Amino acid sequence: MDRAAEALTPGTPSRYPYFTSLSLAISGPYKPNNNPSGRIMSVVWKIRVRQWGLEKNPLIPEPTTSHPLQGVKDRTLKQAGLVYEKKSRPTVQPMMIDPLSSVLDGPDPLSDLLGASDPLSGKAFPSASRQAMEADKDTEMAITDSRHSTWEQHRAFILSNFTTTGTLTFTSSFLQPSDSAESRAVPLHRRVVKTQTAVTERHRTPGMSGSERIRARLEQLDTLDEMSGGGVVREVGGLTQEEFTHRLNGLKQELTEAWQSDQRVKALKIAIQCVKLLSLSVPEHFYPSKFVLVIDILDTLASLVYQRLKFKSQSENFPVGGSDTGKLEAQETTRNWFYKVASIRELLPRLYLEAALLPCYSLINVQEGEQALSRLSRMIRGIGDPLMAAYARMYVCRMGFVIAPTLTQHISESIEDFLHALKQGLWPEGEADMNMGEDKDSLAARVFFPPLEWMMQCLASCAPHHILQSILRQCEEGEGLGQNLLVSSLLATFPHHFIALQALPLTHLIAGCSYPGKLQHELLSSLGVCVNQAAPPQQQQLPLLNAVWKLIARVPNTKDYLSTAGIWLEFTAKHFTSVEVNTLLGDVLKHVGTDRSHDQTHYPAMLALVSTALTNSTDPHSLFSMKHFLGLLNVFQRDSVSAGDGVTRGVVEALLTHHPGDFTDPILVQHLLTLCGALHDSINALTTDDERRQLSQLIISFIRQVNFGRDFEQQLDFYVNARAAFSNLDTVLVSLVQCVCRLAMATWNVMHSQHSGKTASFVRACAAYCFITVPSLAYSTTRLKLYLLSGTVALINNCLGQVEGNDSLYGGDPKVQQEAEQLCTTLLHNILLHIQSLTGIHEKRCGPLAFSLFWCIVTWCDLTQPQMMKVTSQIWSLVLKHCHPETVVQARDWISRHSVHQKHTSLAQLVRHGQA
Amino acid sequence: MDGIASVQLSPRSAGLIESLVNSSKPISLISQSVEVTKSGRIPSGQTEIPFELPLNPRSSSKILYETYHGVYIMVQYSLRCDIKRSLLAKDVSKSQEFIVEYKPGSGDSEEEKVVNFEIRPETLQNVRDRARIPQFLVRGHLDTSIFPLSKPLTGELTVCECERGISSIELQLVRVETCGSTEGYTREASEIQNIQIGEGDVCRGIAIPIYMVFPRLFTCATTVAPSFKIEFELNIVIIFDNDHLVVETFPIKLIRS
Repeated sequence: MDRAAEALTPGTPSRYPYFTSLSLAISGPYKPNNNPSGRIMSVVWKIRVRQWGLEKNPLIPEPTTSHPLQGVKDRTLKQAGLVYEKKSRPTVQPMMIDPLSSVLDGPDPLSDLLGASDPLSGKAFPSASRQAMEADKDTEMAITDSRHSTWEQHRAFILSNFTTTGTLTFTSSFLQPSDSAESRAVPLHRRVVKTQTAVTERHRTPGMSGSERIRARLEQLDTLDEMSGGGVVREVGGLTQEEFTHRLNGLKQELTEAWQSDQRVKALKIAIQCVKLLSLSVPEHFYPSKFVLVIDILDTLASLVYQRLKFKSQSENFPVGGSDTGKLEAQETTRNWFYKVASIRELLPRLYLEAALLPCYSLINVQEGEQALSRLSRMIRGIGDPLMAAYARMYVCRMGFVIAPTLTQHISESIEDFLHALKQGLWPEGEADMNMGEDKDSLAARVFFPPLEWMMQCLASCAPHHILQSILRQCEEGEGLGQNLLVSSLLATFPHHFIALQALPLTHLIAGCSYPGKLQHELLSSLGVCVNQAAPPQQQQLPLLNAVWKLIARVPNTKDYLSTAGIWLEFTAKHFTSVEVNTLLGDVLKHVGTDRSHDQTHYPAMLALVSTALTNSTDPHSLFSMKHFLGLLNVFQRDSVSAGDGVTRGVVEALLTHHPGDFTDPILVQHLLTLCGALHDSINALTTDDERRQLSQLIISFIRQVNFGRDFEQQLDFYVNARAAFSNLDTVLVSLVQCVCRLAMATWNVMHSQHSGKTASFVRACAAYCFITVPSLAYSTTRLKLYLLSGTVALINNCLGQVEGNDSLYGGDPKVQQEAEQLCTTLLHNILLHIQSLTGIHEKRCGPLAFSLFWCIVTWCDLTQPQMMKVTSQIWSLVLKHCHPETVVQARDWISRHSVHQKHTSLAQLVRHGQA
Repeated sequence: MDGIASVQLSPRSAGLIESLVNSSKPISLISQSVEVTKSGRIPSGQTEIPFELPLNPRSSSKILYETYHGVYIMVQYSLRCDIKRSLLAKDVSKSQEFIVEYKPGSGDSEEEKVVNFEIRPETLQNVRDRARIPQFLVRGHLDTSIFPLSKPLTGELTVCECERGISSIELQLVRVETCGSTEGYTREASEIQNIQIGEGDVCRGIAIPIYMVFPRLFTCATTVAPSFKIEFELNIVIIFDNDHLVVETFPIKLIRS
C-alpha cells in the first residue's frame, strides 16, 4: 500500500504509460458530528481513474545559444591540462564528470589568487634597478623564459632557510637611545651594551705623535665610515634573530626619514654601518639571511639616490641653460656620490655601496659602469673570508645583471674566483659556529650554494654556449666542495637542452663527486628533472640510463632511493618500452623488499612510482601485464592499514586514470577489487559524507570500467563479489543494480529477445540479484526507482515471477482497492473531525487544512460520483469561510481553466455557485 | 683693484722648523692691480663692471703654482676689490679666492712605466728583529708611477705565500710637504687617504686589484719649487693577524692631465 501511495505522489509522473494507477472507490458510512455548518455529512472517498499518458505535460525543448555551465566547463578543461603537467597527483577526471566537484578540486578563486604573482611584492624590487631593467624589456622577457628565478624568490628562500636560534650582536651609532637593554627587558645575563667613543680603535693608542693625531683628524674628515660627530657606537649583544631583524628594519626606516629630511650624508652613513654588519661572518648559518636584510637597506638607499639623480637630470626648470645644464649638474652630483663612496676606508662597505650605485652610471656613461662592474667583481678577491666574498659576489652579480644583462665575463671570473677561494679551505678549524649539530660539510654546502646558484643562473640566462661549456670543463677540473656545488648549481640553473646534451659526461661527474655536501642522489634527481624536460640525443639514452641506474641502485637510504628512482622512472617510461620500466620496477621492489620493516613510510613514494610509470609510459597497456608492476601493486595490497592514509586511494585513482580502456584482465580486476575493498573497509563512523561520496564515485567508476566482454557469467560473478565488498555504500549498490540490469538487457539483445533455457536462468539470476540488493538501500525513493527499473527489465525478459514487486500487478486488485478505500474514508473522516475541533485561536489553521484537503480531493477523487461531489462542496464551503479571498479567487480561476478538458463541469459549477 | 698670489709657510709647523718659518716670508707669485673704472659716481641700482686680468707671473723666474691648501704649504690666489671713496667715507673692500689649475696635459709627458714590486722579508728595511717576521712573498705592480689626478691609481698585487694569517691589506696615500731654503729643510708627511683593499686572510695566488680614487680636496699635481715641494707617496700596508705590519713605499707623481 505504501508503495502504491508513493507511486501516486503528485509530481512523480510515471514513465510507463501502460501502468494503470490505483483506482479506488471508497464508500463507507459517515458518522455525523458537529461541524461548523451544523449539518450531518456523509463522507465517501472515490478515486478517479487516471490517464497519465494523456495527462502528462510534455516538456518542449528550447534552443539556447549559451551553455549555462560554460564557466565550469572551462575550468574543468583548464584543470585537465594541469593534471597532465602535475604528474605526481593524477585524478580520476575522465570517468566521473561532476561539475561541482571538478570546480572544487580545481583551482578555486582563492588559490588562484595565491598562485598569481603578488603585485605588491613586485614593488619590493628597488625601482632604480627596475627602471634600468625596463630599459631592456627584451632581455627581461628572455629571463622569464629561462630557468631564472627572481631576486624575490631567492630572497624568500634564503630568509626561510637560514635562521638561527643563537644570539646576535648589533653595532650601530644610530641605535635609538630608548633601545637600551633595559627597555627591552632583556635578562641581565644577556645584557651586553658597550659604548665606545667616536675614535676608531687604531687612534686610541696612547701617546700619539703629532702626525698620527693629524692623520686621525684627517681620516675623520675624509672618510664617511666613521661615526657622525659626537656619535657613540653602541653594541647590543644577546639579540635574537627577530630582534636583530627588527633593528635593521628600524634603521631602514630611519634611513628613509633621514633622506626625506635632506640628511643625505646621514642616510649614507646608516647604509655603511649596515653593510659593516656583513663583515662578521659568524654565525654562518644566519649570514645569508643577514645579507638579504642588509641588501634591503642598500636597495632602499640605491633607489633613493637613483631617483633623485634621475629627477635632477630630467628636470628642466633651470633658469639658464635649459635641460642640458640640469643634465650636467646631475652628472656632477652623480660623480660626487661616487667620490664619496670611493673614499670609504673599509673594503666591504665601499664595495657594496659602489655596487648599489652602479645603476647611477647610466646617467654618466654606461661604459664606465660596465668597467666599474668588472673592477668591483675583481675587488672582491680582497675579501679573505670565502663566505663573505661569496655573498658579495652574489650582490655584484645581481647589480651587474641589472645594469648590463649581457655581460658575462665578470660572472665567469667571479665563479672562478669563488672556486679558487673554496679550494683554499673554509673557515679555520673550530671557528665555525655550528648550528644545532649540523656538521661542517653540510653547513658549508648549504651556505655556499645560494650565491653560486645565483651567479650560475645569471650566466646561464645570457651566456653563449661555449661559456657554458667552459663551466662544464671547470666542473671536470674541480675538486671537493667547489666541484660538488658547481655541478649541482649547473644542474639547477643551466638550460635543459644544454644539460640534456651533456647528460652522459655529467653523470660521470656526479659519479666522481665524492664530497658529502650535496648528496649524489640529489644531483641525480636534478639531472633527471632536466632530461625529463629535454631529451638527450637518442643514441645517448640507453648508456645514460645504464650509467645513472648503476648509481641509483647504490643509494643507501630507501627514501632517497625511491625519490630518485621516481624521477628516472619518468625518463625511462618516456623513452623506453615497458620492458625497461619493468626492469627498473624490479630493482625498486628488491630495494623495498629488503627494507620491509618500514614498508608503510615508503608507500607515498611508491605510489608516485606507479603513477609516474602509468602517466609517462608510451604503452601503459603492456605495463599491466608486467610482472614487477603487478608486484608493486601487490605491495600495497599486502596490508589494508594503509587504506586510511590515502595511498591506496591514490593507487586506485592512478590505475583508473591511466588504464587505457576497460579492465578485462581478471587478475588486475581482482587486485583492484581488493584495493577498493580496503578503501571501503576504511570507512567508519568518523568518515565525512564528502569523503564517503568521493570514495563511492571512485568505486563506481571502477565497477563501470570492468568489462569481461561476452563472458556474462564472469561479469555477474564480479558484480556479486562487488556487492559483497561494498555493502556499506548505497550509491555503489545502486550502481551495481543498474549494471546488472544492463547486463540482463545485454543478454536479451544478444539473444534477439528470444531467451534460451540457459540465458533465461541467467537473466533470472540477474533479476534475483536486483531484488535481493534493492531492499538493503536506505532511501525509499531510490528503492522504488530501482524496483521499477528492475521490474521493467524482468518483465521484458519474461521473468514474471520476478516482477512481483511491480505495482501494476496488484495495484488493480479489488481487495487492495477496497482496503485503500476504507483507509482513506477513515482518514477523511478524521480530518473533517479535526477541522471542526479547531476553534478559538486555532481557527485560523482551518483554512490551509481545508484548502489542502480540497486540492487532494479535486486531484485524486472521482468527482462524477455524487457522494464525492457532496463532500467536495462541503469542503469548498469551508475553504470559502476560512481562506483568504485571494487564494479562493486563484483556486477558482485554476479550476475553471482546467475543468474544461477534464470534464469537471460539476466542479466548475460548484465553484461558481460558491462565488454567487 | 689688484690680484695677489702668495705662498706662505703654515704657522702651524712648530718646533724644528720654527726658525725657518720666521725666516721665510710669503712668496708673492703674482701681484697686479688694475683700475676697472675711473673715479666718479656709480649710479644707484646694480652696476656690472667687466674686467680682465692676465695671469702673468711677477717675474720671469717665478712660476704660477696650482692652488693648494696643505697643512704646511698653501698656494692661494685671490682677487680683492677696493672701492676708494672720499675722505669722509671708509673704503669698501671685498676679497674672493679663486682657483688656479693647470690646463690638462700641460704637464711634461713622461713615459708611463709599469712599476713592478716584490715584498719579501729580505726586502724590508728598518727591521729590528728579523726573526719575528713571518715568511711571506707579495708580488705586484702599479700600472705606472705617474698618475693623472682625474684617473684612479691602479695596479694589482698577489699574496703568493704567507705563513701567517693576514688581517688587512691597505693602500695609504701620503702627502709629503717639504719646506726648505738654503739654511735647511723640513719634511712632513701626512696620510690623506687610507683604503682597504684586502680584508681578512686573503686568497693566496690571486691578483687583488689596487685601486684608489684620488681625493679631490687633498691632492694636487706634484709640485717642486725652489722653496717647497709637494710630493706624494703610496704605502702598501700589510697587517698580519698579530697586528704586526709591513709597509712598502712607492713615490708617485701626480699630474694634471
